[in-house]
Amino acid sequence: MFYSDVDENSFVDDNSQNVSVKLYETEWRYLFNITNIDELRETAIKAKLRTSRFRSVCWRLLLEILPPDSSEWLMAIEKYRSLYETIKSTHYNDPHTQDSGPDDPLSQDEDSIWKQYFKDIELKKIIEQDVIRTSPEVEYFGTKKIRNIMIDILFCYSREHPDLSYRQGMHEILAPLLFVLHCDHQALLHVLEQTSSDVSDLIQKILDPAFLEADAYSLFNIIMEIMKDYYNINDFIISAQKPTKHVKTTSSTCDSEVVQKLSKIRDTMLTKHDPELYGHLLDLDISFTTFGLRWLRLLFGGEFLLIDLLVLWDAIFATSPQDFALVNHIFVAMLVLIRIQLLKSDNTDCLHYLMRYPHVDVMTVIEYALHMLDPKMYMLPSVINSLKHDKSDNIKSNITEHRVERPSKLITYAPRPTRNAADDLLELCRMKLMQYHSILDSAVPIHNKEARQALTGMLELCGMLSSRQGIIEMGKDVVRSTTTPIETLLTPDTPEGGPLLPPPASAITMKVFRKTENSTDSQIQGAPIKNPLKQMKR
Amino acid sequence: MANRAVPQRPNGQTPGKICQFKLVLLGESSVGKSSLVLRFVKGQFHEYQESTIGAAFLTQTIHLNDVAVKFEIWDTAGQERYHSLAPMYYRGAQAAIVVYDITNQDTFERAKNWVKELQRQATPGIVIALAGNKLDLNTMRSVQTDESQTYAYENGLLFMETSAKTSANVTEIFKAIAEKLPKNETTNTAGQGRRLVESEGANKSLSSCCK
Repeated sequence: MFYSDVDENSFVDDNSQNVSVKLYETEWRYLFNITNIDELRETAIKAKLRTSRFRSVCWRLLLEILPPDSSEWLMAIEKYRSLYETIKSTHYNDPHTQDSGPDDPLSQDEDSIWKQYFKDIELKKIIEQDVIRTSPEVEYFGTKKIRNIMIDILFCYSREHPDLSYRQGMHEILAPLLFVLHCDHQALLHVLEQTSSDVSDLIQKILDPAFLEADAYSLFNIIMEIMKDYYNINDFIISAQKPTKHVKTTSSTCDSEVVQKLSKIRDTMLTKHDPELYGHLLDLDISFTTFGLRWLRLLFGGEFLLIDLLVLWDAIFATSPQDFALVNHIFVAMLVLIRIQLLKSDNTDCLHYLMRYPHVDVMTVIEYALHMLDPKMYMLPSVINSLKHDKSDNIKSNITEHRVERPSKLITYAPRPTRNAADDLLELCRMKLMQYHSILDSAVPIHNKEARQALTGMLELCGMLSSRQGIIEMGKDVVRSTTTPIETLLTPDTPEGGPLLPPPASAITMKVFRKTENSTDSQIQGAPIKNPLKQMKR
Repeated sequence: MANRAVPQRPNGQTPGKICQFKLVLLGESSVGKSSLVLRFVKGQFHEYQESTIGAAFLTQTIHLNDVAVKFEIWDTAGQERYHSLAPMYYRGAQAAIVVYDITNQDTFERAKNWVKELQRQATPGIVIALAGNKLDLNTMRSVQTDESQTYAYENGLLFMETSAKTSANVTEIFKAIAEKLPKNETTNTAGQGRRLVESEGANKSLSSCCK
């Protein structure tokens, strides 16, 4: 409802640029002129940040990087930024440029600057190996600038946390954070382009693109503080064992915290919420570590499209910023949502489903997870009952056809075209369309599937009409309408309990993407999907 | 090359016999494990392949004469820090491909450690193949073919230099493994249903699980 406050007449006015700025500031006020952070939490949980241009600010507020009182934000953000500068300067020591005294490059002394220097080079090499392979289909992550920023952040984090250091997977936690910050920066730049000075100083400082790296570090650092247990593995070296004839290497070799957590999810949570599925997976001897490790380490980043993942993270950060307690419930919800497929499958097919999780409605996952977390506060989504009690094949549980290839997570980074009158007209059309969508959306009942589809179509049109510049386009949501049979009981765009917020003139546009690869008879589970058209990018 | 194994669709000609094997890929990060599998299973190659987190699970069937050999492939994460998770993936495997990068001597040393560990800890009789990947970067080679060949011979390993990029020797190495795996169980036909490796404990000590 960011838009309800905007004067109706301003839309009739031909000056669409003023409207954009007004909308922008209205959204800001809606999100942050609040007395109670619970309001923001509700907004986040209900997927209303899906198209927000201030998601990175919301996350910082929810994760308590920013204090509740916005008058203290500038001080807080400056503190974090200067802290990062200090950290970075501490760990970037080049002995070539300083007098190392008696120290020399061959020194084995623990305190030797040279020894540390060579260790750092090795560490950066390891990090770089993963960074250059981050979402290869997204050009944004292929740029030298972003790669270097990622390497610097991960390097600083590793040096600050020597016990944990760098582990594969961390780069995929960092990537969405950079992406969200970048989108917010782009949205601000776009608004600034249209107006000389109207945007408040606070917004400009908080979303200053010059601090992308420092701001991403503070988000990454605070998220990893909670997630580091997922990455901790007792580095038990098997080869140090006595060579016996036939060692059965059981789970005892790696009962790290993450493995214990997975056992807990299985043995106390799944068994409670779906004993039948629990028994089935146990009978098939499916180890939760095989798939769960990735689910947790990437905070489900490998299992959802980016735009859904961000909604999932909204909910996690909003509900349980201290311990991400919602994560366990999301885990169980994801299993129960595909229970019909799993119950019908043998060991191999179950692994196929779990190692390459099918596309499901992210809002159902969130709603069910919230219900398990707090049954009094949150209703059980109706589809869960149907899933548990109707075993017929009619229930498709919001799942798209198994083995449908996923589209690439997000799509292209378009160069900035120059803006002209036609663009302005398109922009105006788009905003009018969104306005109409918003009105209809609250009026059309959820069970009217055809009308809901028409509404989805309107959103697609909004995305296509977008002529905005310097923009990340995300192909996604819309994919649901091309691959899902008309089963969308609850679509992410129509969260129960609130009308949809139309996409603002934000930095995000949507596009329809279709399957690009013909699926073969062989199945790849867990293997990343590529857009073959972009695979050879430089 | 008359008898060359070609990946075929399982719903093609019904062969007389189906054998299913668990195969695991091990090796240092970025040597090309996932790329080898992607080439073998889908015939594709990506210059930048996303890092594997945990593991990936794939299946592919090849046909050797009248036997369909179905590989259940576990493609593991390479980073050494995750070493302690590896047994979970090679447990019960009947075959392993240990991969190194021919342009990087360290990855070869690491491969030797994997071989040692498999010989000591994995299922007895496991078929181990050593793959020197990135043959397309031959000009930047730092591991000599002779050296690996000798090592493989001394340790009873299959050995090939491969390129996921050009697809050189990719199908061949899987085919060589398939040929070496024992398929001498009772000659059941495929019609007897899919009783797969229900419990890893049930089949793991046998080197084959023909149905």
